[in-house]
Amino acid sequence: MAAPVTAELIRRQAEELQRFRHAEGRAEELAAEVTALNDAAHDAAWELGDEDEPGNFPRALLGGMRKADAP
Amino acid sequence: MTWRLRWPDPAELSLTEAADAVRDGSLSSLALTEACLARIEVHDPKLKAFISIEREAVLEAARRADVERAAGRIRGPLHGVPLAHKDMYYRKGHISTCGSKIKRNDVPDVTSTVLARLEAAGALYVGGLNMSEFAAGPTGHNEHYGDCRNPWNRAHITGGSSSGSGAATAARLVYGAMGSDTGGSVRLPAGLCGVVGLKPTYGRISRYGALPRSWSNDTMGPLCRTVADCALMTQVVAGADPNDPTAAAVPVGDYAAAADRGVDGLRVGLPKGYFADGVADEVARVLEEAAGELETAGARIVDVLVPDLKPVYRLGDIISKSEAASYHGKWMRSCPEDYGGHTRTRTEAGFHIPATHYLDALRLRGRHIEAFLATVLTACDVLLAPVIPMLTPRIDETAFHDAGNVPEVVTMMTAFTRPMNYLGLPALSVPGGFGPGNLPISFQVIGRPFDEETLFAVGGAFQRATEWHDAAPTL
Repeated sequence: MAAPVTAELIRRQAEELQRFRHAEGRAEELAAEVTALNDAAHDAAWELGDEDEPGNFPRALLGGMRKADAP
Repeated sequence: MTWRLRWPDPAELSLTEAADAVRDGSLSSLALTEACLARIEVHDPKLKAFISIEREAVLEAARRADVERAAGRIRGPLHGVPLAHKDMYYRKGHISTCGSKIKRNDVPDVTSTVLARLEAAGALYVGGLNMSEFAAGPTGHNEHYGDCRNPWNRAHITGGSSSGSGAATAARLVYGAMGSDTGGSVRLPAGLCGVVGLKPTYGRISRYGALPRSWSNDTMGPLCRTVADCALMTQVVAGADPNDPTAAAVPVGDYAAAADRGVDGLRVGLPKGYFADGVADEVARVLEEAAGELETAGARIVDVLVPDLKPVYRLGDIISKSEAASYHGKWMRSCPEDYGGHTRTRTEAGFHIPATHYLDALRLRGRHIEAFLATVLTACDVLLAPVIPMLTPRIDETAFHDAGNVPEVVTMMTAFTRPMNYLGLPALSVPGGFGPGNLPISFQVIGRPFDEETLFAVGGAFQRATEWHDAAPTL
């Protein structure tokens, strides 16, 4: 697992990439939440294959409909 | 008629009964509307369910509906029935605040498909209902319009974000209301206020003209006092829409008939693992008793091991926060002070999720749906689950104090609801009993994509066997 996201990275990303400033002390609080979310994506991404694309979502919904002869 | 003896106040009729009464002429639309307005006047100051009330306009619409009926013209199945909706469904030329300071004076130039369909069916519009600011919180707090209060016990939250929809429907201020559900925002207020709420399949009901929270997770759904009412409202608003390309061209079922058809032979799953671990005793008891009622009604109860859905929850959260940050970016840069604490802190992390991770979460979605269908929803036809794992929290214990101190209970509130938004599956919240503090406890019925009919069948069978839905709060 990579090193946790730091408050300094949150601050710099907000100011340099997103062009806004977090309230005082907020970068420290966000660092843990952002670490958890990005770790979740990292961990799950190992499953991805060539065939995985966003359009599989509606396809899976339509494909998963109850069959007409089901109870 | 028997209902006159049971419910001397017309506001206490169900939506279906109210619509029938207008249609057969036993009650006027004006009588229904005046009854609702009278209750709103007395009780809403205590509940804060409404943001706006269009008293004169709805009375005029009711008189018009009565004239039309007298002339033999019935617009549709909701002719003359007063409803109100989460204040995020746009109406051309009318303010939709979205529960925010930022949109306090915002006048949309479109009308949402949902409201257009309700109006075409004859429904009347009483007003805009309170909600979590920008549909962003699971509790029902609102720093701009006041915290909505649970009609059963006003010290407790309604659940959110469709807080006013739950409170107004439970308190008999209106016969039903539309809400929206991105991570539980219909099911939570329905569940905590003791009414029925549908989170439909993604794509079942058009999102056009409604405030977005997360385009990929947003669903629009009704909150009503009975399953039959919910089926009726869904019937009116569901279906494809050229204005919303994600509204699927899947035929709309006969939901009213489905609510009556029973559960004979249906395999109803009782969860083990996720949806069962760490659940409060009272909540678990309601779920088991609901299963018992359904078994008596003819269903077959099967134990189903549900895998850990925390990864699914987090992937849904990544999508929601990323999309919310995109939607709110311009205001968070220009007027961050106009946001309440709940909303700001539930959105900011989205600015720090790389686009690659957002896309990975989207790419994984089809895979996770197929896995859930192949395991859980192959072992059963529908799955029962609690709406929340704990008893309904108080308003003060879930209030926002500072960003670093968002109570753990708030985070836990969506543990059982958000996964179904990522998976896109339909879920119906049904009241199943009461817990300490005279507060409702509800359960969800989760089904296959676009199979709202089976959810209504299960909910309808449960309500025919029980009387929880007839209980009304003392205000």
